[in-house]
Amino acid sequence: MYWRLIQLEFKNFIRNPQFGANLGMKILMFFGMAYFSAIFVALPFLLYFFAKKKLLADPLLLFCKYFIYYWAFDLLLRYFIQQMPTQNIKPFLTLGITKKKLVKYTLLKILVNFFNWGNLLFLLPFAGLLILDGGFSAVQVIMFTIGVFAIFYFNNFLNILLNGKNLILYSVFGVMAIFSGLEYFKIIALSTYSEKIFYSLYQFPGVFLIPVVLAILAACFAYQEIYKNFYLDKGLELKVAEGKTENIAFLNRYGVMGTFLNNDIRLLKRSKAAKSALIASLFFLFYGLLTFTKGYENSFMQLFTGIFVTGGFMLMFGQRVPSWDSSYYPLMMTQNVPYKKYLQAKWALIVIGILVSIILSSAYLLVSWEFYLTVFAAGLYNLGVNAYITLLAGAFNKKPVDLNSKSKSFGGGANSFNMKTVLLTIPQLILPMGVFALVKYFFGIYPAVASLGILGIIGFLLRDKVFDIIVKVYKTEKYSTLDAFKKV
Amino acid sequence: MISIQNISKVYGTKKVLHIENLVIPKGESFGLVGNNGAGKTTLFSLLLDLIEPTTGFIEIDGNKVHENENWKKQVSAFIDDTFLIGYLTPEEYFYFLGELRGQNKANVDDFLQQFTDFFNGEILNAKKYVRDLSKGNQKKVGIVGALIGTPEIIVLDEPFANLDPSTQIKLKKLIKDWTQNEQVTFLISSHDLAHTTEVSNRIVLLDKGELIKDIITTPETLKELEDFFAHSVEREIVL
Repeated sequence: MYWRLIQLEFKNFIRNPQFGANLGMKILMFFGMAYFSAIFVALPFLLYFFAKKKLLADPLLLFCKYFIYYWAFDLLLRYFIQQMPTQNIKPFLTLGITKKKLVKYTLLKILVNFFNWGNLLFLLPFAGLLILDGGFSAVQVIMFTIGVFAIFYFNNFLNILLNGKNLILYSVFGVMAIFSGLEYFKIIALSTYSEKIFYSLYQFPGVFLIPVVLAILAACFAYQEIYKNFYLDKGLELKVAEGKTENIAFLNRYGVMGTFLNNDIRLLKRSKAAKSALIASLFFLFYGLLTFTKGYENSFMQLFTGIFVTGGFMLMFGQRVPSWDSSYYPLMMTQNVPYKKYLQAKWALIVIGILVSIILSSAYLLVSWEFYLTVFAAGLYNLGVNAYITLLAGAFNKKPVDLNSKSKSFGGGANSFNMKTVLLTIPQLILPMGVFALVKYFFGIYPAVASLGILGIIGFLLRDKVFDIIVKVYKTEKYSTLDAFKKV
Repeated sequence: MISIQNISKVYGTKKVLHIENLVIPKGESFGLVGNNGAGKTTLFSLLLDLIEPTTGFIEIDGNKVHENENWKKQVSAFIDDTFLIGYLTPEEYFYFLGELRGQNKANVDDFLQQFTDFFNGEILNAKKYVRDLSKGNQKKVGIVGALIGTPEIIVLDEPFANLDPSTQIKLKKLIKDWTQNEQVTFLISSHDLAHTTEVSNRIVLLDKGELIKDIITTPETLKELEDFFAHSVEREIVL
């Protein structure tokens, strides 16, 4: 029976529309996964040699010292991201399978979640280093590893038990925040306790059984909890957000454009996919930190980072216009929609995104005045030129967005992989990089900033022309876009 | 007035629709019946310019729908859930459509008044987004959305499926009233012969993409249609 269920799971995986994407997409996904796995595997080496060479400390002690914070972080991350795999269970409820089996199967599925075994990518190389390079006792290191791994499973089941109990979780978070504050100001050092507790897993044989037993106990409770809530109106029901009719009234002054803008703001607030794109665009702000690495000292590459720092939202959101509206594209195509107004609304939102990014990126003043000016210049170029070019690139992107799914929204940038979008990166990136680097080389930083500002103004003046082109693309590609958007 | 001339749609080698000539005058309530795959939704999609015709054209008041967009000012439609915006509340959805059809918020509120019993308290102020409503309630939202602004031509695909009996009766009454009093043209497709004959003053029967019957509704129409489908099932059994 389990075998049958696993077969179904496998089919679900390989027939996922995301997986069925074109070959290029698969290759990109593979590299992405390989990249992140490599980072995970590289971390123990970094930690180990950093401790040994730089701090001259015992790597195991260092790990134990801060593990309590990682533990809390892991729990928090699980709470927000790890979902109960109960989605596909509904069709089985009325079939001739006992409930016990289904609950056990659900638990089994949780056990093989990446959040659990992913930790092995770190733990195994770390254990290997400790034994082979550090000369730690092999048996004790293995016991330690089992202990730590069991702690992750304990977290896993704790997360199920905590499900929906925000208060407990926030208090865990609050307590940990207070402790880290106290630690920072050297009032109470939680890390010394953490060190003692977790090091004992290594130090005393048999201690590792405590987390193992705890994990098993938590598993039993989780089993009961899931069993009790195995009803459509309880645990199997996704929580439905309460709907609230809202409207930013002052936008109504802008007529139909204001209506579209209101809708887009609602989209960002209420759709999982749009929300995660918004969060992802925040991460772009940190892209400028690359300036500290090799190969980024020249103004050419610095402007490159600047475009991304100030254009995070523009790229995450703008490249997927009109895909954001894919799930109701037939409606849009049969209404009397003034497409210019529609685009202006998206454009206004992108401009707001860029302006906010420019303000937030003023943190780079701490790096240097010159670097901030570079980021600022890139921001001007984004405002004036890229805001439309991204929308133009989006017009060729026919990958539908599933508004209610979180994961599918990631990697969306790669989906728009076609020749036209690649060609559009020339005005998007290469032109400003070249102009900025050249002007800066010959005339200095201020004229360089001004030159991008002027390009931005020129772009801004051409705005209506570009909108006309985009509207034309929408019209000529109408039937194929409608067809492509059907395949969510 | 809608005029359909020599329209056909071919996918690969399969002809899914072919209609020589069909004219639908203003104020008619036009019923389209047929089995699955008869071409009903294809015809509506062509009318709404959602797919490209292989040959021929459809004209609304002299404007070919695939050449210019003037028809959008006259036509509204509810075909399926791709006509709903899931992340809006029903109110926001209605206001949005109203805005596109030149109706302000007060107008829309006024208009929605008459649907209070239609909605049965489950749609307005229900604190739910359209995506979280039940299928039946989503359908109600879509149908009422298509009615906002009293467009000249209203296209509804399978409006009676998934609706509860009371709502079916109310919808039928509304269609009859609007065709008589407001000269609204309704185009309705359905599997349900009884409902369609009741509200339509003309019925077209499609089978495998071809126009088989084009009849003005009389008290005998329902019997005639039922006989047709009964015979076609018998023919299949004999074969």
